[in-house]
Amino acid sequence: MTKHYDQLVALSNLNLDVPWGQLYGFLGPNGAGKTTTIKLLCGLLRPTEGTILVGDVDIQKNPMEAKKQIGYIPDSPYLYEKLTAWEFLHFVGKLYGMPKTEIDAKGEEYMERLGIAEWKHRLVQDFSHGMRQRVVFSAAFLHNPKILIVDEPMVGLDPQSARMVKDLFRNLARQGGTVFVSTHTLSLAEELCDRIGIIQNGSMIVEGTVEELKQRADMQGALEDIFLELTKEEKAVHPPVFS
Amino acid sequence: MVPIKQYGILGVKSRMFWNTIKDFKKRWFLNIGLALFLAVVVFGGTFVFFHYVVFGTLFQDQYKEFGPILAERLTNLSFVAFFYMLLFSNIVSVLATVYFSKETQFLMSLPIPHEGVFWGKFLESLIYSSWALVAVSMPLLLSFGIRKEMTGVPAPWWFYPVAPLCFMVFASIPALMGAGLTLFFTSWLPARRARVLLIGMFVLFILAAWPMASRLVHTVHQISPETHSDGVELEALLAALRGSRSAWSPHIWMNRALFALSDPAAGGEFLFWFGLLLSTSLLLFQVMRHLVPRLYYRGWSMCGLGGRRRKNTDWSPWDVLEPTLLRPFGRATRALVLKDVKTFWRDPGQWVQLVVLFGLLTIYVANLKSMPVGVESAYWQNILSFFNLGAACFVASTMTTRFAYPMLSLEGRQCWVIGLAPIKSTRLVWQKFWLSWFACAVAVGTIIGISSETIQLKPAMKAVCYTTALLTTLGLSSLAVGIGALLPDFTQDNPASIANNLGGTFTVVISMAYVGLSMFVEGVAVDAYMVKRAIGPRSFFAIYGVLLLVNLMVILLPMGLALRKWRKIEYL
Repeated sequence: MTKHYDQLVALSNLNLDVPWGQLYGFLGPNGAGKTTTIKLLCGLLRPTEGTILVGDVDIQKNPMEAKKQIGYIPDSPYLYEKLTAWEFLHFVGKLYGMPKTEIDAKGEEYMERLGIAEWKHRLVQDFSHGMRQRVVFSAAFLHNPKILIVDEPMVGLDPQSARMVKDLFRNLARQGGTVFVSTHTLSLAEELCDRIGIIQNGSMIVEGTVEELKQRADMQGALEDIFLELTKEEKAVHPPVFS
Repeated sequence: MVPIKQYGILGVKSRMFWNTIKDFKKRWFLNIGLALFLAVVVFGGTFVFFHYVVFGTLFQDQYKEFGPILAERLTNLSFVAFFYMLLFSNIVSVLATVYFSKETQFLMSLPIPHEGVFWGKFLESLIYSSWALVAVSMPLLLSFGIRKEMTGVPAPWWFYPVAPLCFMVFASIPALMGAGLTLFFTSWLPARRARVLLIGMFVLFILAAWPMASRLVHTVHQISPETHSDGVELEALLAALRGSRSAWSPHIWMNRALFALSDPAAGGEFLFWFGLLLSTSLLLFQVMRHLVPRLYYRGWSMCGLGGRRRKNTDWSPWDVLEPTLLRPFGRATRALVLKDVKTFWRDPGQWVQLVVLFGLLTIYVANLKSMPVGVESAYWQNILSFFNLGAACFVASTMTTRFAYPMLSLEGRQCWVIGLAPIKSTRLVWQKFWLSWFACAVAVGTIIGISSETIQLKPAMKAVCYTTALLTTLGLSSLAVGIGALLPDFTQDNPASIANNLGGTFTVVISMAYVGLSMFVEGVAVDAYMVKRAIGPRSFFAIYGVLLLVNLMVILLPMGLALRKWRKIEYL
């Protein structure tokens, strides 16, 4: 897929194939095109060229069907400030056409698991960043998505919640679903992901398992070193000030 | 005194303003052209209203005996209204800008004295809450200077630069009082509770003004065109228009200063009244200077407190709405409506002014029965019914601009919720449209209902009024939601800021022009056909046909364009 914003080419012929049952890490420097890719995958943006298939459903041609399969967790959890967490979950559930009893049951389950059950009748405006993030996680899992798309999942979460979230991701993948994670936390990608794609200047520069990436970079060590090696750009060489 | 500029807050703000202007230049034809057009329309419209409608009526030959006295009373009442509007809008704005704003949180983390943050943000709040009233007052002052009937001679040249300066000093008094009240209440109550308390006090104040407003309406109705020169009635009218005449009231000083400034024979009297305004403003500033270091940080640090835990139950009264009133709609639409209604209800700062406006309109309509003129005559019934309809629709147009116009922009930040949901994006536009229409129709319908019953309107006229109300509320909703959808601003989360932007100003101007024009044409047509029998049914229905076409265009065009855009909307 390709995406232009007026003159700016945000994505150029990006080809992604993410199999079912995998945790896919999507890495790249700031401004590489990660958020644009995510918004395209979710149907929030339209590609200038190309097609996006969610399973076998084209998200442009049949957005309703495609969106039912997706859950999305943004990096900035903007929520409706004047709703309580519980009301927010009900709102999201109803948008997905879920019956009240199912929203109640699922809502209770995820709020309990993420440790926000006792706060559920508070207005969102009183919540910290981490609390909001936990509400967003609960809402994203509510309609049983087969695909979870996550932008910076651990921002604002305490260690217990972060562990819980990792377990939820693994669970979903084990059940045959797919988790697509964009992150700058390279240790998380290394620990969690089956495959990793690295994007730079709107194009995929490398893709594979951590081992494959190491081979490609021709180096051993942490993913952080490999990432820095693969994404380093030639800097302009300036003449010395004094010589 | 804290040297504000030293901390660079104002410098940053002016830089941000300049960058916005530069951004404007990118689409200069649309933005600058629209801004100029709106400035001319708003300034020109307000000037025409004061100069020709208000003063023009008062200074007709038949009213020459008491025209200047009435003018003095009316300008005084205008300053009373300005004073309280500024006081209230500054309270709301200071709470939002100086206390709740995310920027304040950032600034408080910097090595800047708290009072520096306060004064920098207060100035921003002052400009934000007062610019519109200051702008509206300028045509009033201009017309005041030009009209020589006030003092018998035209105002001297220095009136024009000095009068706006004087008004700004006057405007600073309610602004400082509003900030002082907020500072005081937030120092011992969490800001959210202080906001509820201050808004409650404002509503009580308006309720206390009910008997005065009622008396005013009653007295105005006692004055018929035939008996206007009756001394007793005139006295009653002047008494009703008296407003507050206390020598301690800044609006009296402003009014006196204006009259003294426009009269070259008044000598140094202006300096006395202006001195009162200036010294009061400086005194308030001095008091604030002492209060801010003591109270501001204490109040700001309690900002996060006061959040109320809702009733610990999964059921709320709002949920009754869903299975009853909203039953015919789909589950997603019901959820969107419920979310909008709850969000609106839980932010009283947004709607309390509107309630006051509708409240005043209801007082007026409920007092119509006190009219001594024969309301049963077709002439008066026609005039009154269209005047009432027009007034209700004007208030509805402020309602649609203030609330319906920003609704789609407000979904932008939460786009991951709505944009991701398996619903068509056009459903969102329709939902906002019908919600806006329903709220307007209930408000306007209530006013028309009370008014029709009070003046015992004939069934034919009732039908005309209800049909017009139906079409106009559909048109107003289409304009507000349509323009809001065509010019969305997904970067803002404050509805007031969205409503005040260029698109919002355009919406209010075009909505008011639409209401004014349709009421005028329809009123004249009904008068000519049903009352004076000056035109036949063919001409009458031809005029109605054209009006119907115009209404249909206003209903269909903005919504049609909006739906076309939202079918391809991208949530950047």
